[in-house]
Amino acid sequence: MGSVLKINLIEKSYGTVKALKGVSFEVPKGCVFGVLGPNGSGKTTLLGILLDVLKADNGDYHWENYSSATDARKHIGSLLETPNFYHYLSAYDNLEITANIKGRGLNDIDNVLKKVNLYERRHSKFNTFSLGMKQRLAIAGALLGSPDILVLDEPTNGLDPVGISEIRELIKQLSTEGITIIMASHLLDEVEKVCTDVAILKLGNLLTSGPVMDVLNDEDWIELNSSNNEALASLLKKHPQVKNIKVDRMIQVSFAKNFSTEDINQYCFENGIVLNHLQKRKRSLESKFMEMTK
Amino acid sequence: MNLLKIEWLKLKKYPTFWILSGLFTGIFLTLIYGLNQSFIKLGGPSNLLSSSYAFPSIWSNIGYFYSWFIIFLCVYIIISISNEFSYRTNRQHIIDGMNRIDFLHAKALLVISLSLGATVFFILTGLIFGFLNGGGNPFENFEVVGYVFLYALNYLSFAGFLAFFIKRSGLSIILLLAYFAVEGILSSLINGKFDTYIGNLLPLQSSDELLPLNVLKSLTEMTGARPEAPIYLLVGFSIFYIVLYYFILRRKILTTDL
Repeated sequence: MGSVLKINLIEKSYGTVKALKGVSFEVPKGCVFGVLGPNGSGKTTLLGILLDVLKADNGDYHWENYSSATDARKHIGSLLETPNFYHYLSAYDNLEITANIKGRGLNDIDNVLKKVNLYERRHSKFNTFSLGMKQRLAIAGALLGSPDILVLDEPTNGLDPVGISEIRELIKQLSTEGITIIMASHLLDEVEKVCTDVAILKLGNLLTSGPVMDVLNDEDWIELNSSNNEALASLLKKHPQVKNIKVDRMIQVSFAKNFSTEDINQYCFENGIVLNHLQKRKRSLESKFMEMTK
Repeated sequence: MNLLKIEWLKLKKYPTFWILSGLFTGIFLTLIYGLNQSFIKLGGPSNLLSSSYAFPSIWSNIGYFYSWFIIFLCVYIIISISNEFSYRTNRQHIIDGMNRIDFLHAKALLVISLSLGATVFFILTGLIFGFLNGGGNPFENFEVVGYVFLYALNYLSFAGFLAFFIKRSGLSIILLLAYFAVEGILSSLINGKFDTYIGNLLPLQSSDELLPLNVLKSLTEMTGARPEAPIYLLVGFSIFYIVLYYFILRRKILTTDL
């Protein structure tokens, strides 16, 4: 499958602060793409540039399959920030303006209002809405006209647990409908749960990008101990599948392939070493993320 | 045309717009009626304002008073533009797929439409009072209608220009009023000190001079007090400023972060 977006060496400064220092990556079509990074890493700036509300100092981006960036944006639904609507207009009237900008018909407005449970309140003015309702109206605006791509900036930020899980379900469901989703998040857990691909940003630099499975590879570590750890370490080093070995108070090994504790026990025993401790440990993604962005 | 439709959707349910339009038309009609009936006077028994409200002099006579009321529309333009900044809908429009330059063009179209609407209203007022006061050829002196349009266009463009930079309605309105005063003083100062008409070519003054108060104008002409700027210069400069605002804003909107 091709890409929907190519980003090439984007740089952006705010005065003396460099927010993005030459970021490049591609977003494959149909994926859920997470832009992951701690606060201040440049995620929101990057999304702002992709939607033309901010201007990059250098570099460029290209939405594939659209005649222009403007045309692409008409097919992108986005939640970039707080809901931006005319306070004195009703939900319906606000979406009518959105539909006109996007060049879509008005018949979709009722649909999206029903989808976000605001249909009953469609004639109420925006300034009578609660925060949650405003957010839902923004989602309705993003879904208007069946977008090909969704761009979401921290979509679960500030929501309660129910709201968070609703949004995650919605993202997963939209993704199965073939919509490409690009979302910024500082929550690793969120990216792990909903994204298929990820780019990790730190202080304006791209650390890595690719499929979540590769980037945030959930490695198993096996912890071993014997009466002679030196001999054990040299034995393990000879094993062709061993990727990493750390000798501490105990020995920690990671393997290139899935490797069971049974296999390793057998290997050691056959080579004359009896283990007195053997335990599988999961290194948490959190610690890997922390390590990457340290 | 779609851009104009979007602007229409924003204003058609905006009470502020209708209130300002109501004040604009209502007070103007009341004033002209009062002048026409000589309820409103200046200078004792020899009422200085008792000019003719029949064709052809009605156009220039009501043109001057009309120029006062453009302020209502200026205020609306300022509110309309600063609303976009305070609701952050200027960003939302771009995110939703509007071209940056189209955002400016939408507001330019609003300015042009309001100026046209105000001019049509002016023509209707002139025709009604002109015919009520005995008819004549309505097309004599009709060039004043063109000046009225240019005047409105220049004032509304200036107000919009200010709002694009200031982004807040209250401050923009205050600065607009302050600028009226400053420019008035400055132009008299320049004209008086150098015995010239250069002061009349300042941004708003260039259009003000197109719609003078007839009584005052004939007084100055009688005393031969001061050189007057030729009409073509006043028209030329008014257009020049409008174009200038457009290109400055164009540059701003295409290159800056929103």
